[in-house]
Amino acid sequence: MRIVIAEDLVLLRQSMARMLVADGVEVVGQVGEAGALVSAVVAERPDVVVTDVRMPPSFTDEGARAAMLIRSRFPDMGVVVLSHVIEPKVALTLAGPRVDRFAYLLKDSVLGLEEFVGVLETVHAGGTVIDERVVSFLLDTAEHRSLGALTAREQEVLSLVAQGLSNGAIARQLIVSERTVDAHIRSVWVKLGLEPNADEHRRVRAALAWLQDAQRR
Amino acid sequence: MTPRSVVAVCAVPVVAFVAAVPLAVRASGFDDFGNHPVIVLPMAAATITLLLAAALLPGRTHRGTRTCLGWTGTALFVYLTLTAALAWYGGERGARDKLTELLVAAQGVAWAPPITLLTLTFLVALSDLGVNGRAIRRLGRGIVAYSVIVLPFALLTTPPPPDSPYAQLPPVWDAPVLAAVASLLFVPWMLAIFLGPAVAWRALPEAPAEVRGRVLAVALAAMTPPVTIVFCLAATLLAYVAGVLSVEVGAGSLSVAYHLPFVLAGPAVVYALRGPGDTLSARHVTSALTVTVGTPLLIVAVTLAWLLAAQAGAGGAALVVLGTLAFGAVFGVARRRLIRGLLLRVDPVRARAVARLAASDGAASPALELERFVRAVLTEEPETTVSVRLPRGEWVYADSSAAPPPDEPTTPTVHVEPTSADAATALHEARGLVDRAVLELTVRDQEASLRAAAARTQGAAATERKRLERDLHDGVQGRLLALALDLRVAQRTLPGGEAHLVIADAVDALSKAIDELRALSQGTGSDLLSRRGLRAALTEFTGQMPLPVNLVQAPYRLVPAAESVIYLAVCEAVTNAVKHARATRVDIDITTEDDVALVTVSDDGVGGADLRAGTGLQGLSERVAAAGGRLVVSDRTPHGTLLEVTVPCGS
Repeated sequence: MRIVIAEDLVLLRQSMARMLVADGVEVVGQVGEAGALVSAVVAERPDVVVTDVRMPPSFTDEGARAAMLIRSRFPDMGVVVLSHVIEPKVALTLAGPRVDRFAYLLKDSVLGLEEFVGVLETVHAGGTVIDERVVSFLLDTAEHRSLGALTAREQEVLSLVAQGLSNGAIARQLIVSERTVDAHIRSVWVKLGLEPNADEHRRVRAALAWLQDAQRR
Repeated sequence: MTPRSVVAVCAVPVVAFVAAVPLAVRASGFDDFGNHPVIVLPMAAATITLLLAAALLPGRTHRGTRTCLGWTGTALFVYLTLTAALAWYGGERGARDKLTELLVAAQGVAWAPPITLLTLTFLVALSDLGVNGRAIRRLGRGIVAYSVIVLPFALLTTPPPPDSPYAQLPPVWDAPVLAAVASLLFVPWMLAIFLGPAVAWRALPEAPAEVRGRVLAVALAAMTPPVTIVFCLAATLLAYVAGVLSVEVGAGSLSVAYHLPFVLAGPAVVYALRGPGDTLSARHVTSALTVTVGTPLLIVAVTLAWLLAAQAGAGGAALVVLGTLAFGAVFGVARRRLIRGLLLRVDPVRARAVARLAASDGAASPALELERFVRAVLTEEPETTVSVRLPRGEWVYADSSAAPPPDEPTTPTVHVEPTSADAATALHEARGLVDRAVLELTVRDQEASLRAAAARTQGAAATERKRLERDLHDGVQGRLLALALDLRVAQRTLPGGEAHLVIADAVDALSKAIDELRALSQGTGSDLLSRRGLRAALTEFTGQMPLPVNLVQAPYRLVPAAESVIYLAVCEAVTNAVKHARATRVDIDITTEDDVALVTVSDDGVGGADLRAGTGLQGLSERVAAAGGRLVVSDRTPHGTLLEVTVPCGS
């Protein structure tokens, strides 16, 4: 797996690169700002891009905008966005209508070395990973009434779906059978009035969108 | 030629003729024609001053007055000529024929036209000033017509006075009934002498402010005939009572006094029309009073003194002089109050000002009270604005907003727009209020500059906080993360054992530290605000609310100080709506216009929010004020709360 890392803090960038190289990931580029990131992506065509949201010169959302650009220009390229803070709106905007090959994580997720490499692999394989803290923030702030219909377990399943986990992964996490997970998901989908859809990517998107809508209504 | 020099020029013949009085008394030529011979002197003086005044008035602007003065002088000259002719023909030569009869009759009536013309002069002077012109002209024509009808009767039917040398001569037309009718008709004509002052005093309150001073001067000038006559009568009566005056001296002084109004009318009218009478200040009223009332009194006193000195010795003179001095002393003491009362009576603006000031109680804002005062006093201009000059040179309106510097300020520190003489009078009357208003606006101005300084400090603080947050995230947090990552990699390369555990603990501790740092900087929401702007932060905030919050419109970015104040205000208002007002819906609308942001947060809750009740709103109000803005909380109908914040958002 070939990746490019965009992170303006040299120390952190090098540590990440060292860690990933140790795990057998091929780091083909290390850049410190958004312009260089786009150049590196065009030059190297990596499998996955890891980028910080905030980068020079204005330290606002250069990385996020670069990520948007890359996702629209290179649909097959995985993008992992790392952020210092939880911003559900930014996460959902970046995820866009098609959430495949995308991850949005808090930056300290890199400390879980194996898990982080796992995220890279999931994204490379076409999956989605949304930081659980983003999803739990959405769940916490969603209108109580909207979630009232769901059982605790169903809410848990909805949360895991929104994080991008597959049925198998959910089953492993909840220590239940995949069929049970399947039943839960169907139940949730019916209760929330969502279109039943086998496609896991659309499922993530639907879950996220519903959670976002639940806040506004 | 200035009005002052006109008066001075007219004074020369007056003084010369008065000085010649004792010589005339000694001269015996005019002794026996019915009037005291001294009469010739004031008559001649009056003729000269009247014609001089007529010549000095510009015909372009004062044509009517000029004509009337000229005719008055001419009529006096005719009277003088008739008197002289009769004295020579009937007195010196002793002729008693038809010509003597005619001369006696003519001389007996010829004093009337000058009096009518003098009254007319005052009326026309008012008309020339633009006061109620049509009514005055109609009145003048009435007087002239009446005189033209009555005077010929008197001329033909009145017999010579019984005590005159011509008492035995019959009237030209011997008809006693007609003579009685004529003498009855004479009474209203005599009263016409009071018409000039009466009309002038009545016209005074309605006169435009620019000419009110001049109208007052004309009114005072018109007062001279009645005043002199009353004064002379009183003086003569006093002298009789005191037993120092003979009938002859009394008659002489009276005949002199009757002519004094003619001597003074010319200078007085010129002074009124051309003198410094633009504004009705106490100083000008004093000058006008001195010229029109004081001078005749003085001259009468001096004349009486001369006559008495000649006839009754020094004792009589001393009495009159003492009496005059006593009058002067009383007048001097009472003058200030007299003039004050006079000003209040004749000037409606001043009267309204005094009444308004007496009725007003201590207002919270002297500046706004001053504006209300000026509007109440200047009733013709309800949209009047008052601006004040601050010590630093800027002009501000009563509400402390900036005003353009006036070209010609009403007073050096206060300007009334539109300005006028009345405005200056009103401000003069309200001197105390003006002082307090200037003080108030100055203090407010200084408060505003302090607030601006505070806002700048706050802006600098916000910028600094933003920099600090960024440093925390990108510097400290990132470094800690890099450190933890390195430790985690190192941990993996170690085979296990104690060092492995120590490193694991260190990584966990670092991870917690990173979490805490994030919580610290994210706690206020200010991180999102400073990084992504007001709209993004508000969207994020409202997204967390358990009820529909509609962000109607909001600018993406504003200056940091305005952003943080608006963010705080909206958060407080929405939180209140959720917690206290039991609202089911909140609307947020933020617009900017001319570097001022207007924020309205309205809900459909129970309402009843009060700045005084909750410390939250009170504290918020103070924050808004510190940023140079204003916060208003009000109830909506039928229910709900409306919070409005205006805050400057210019860079």
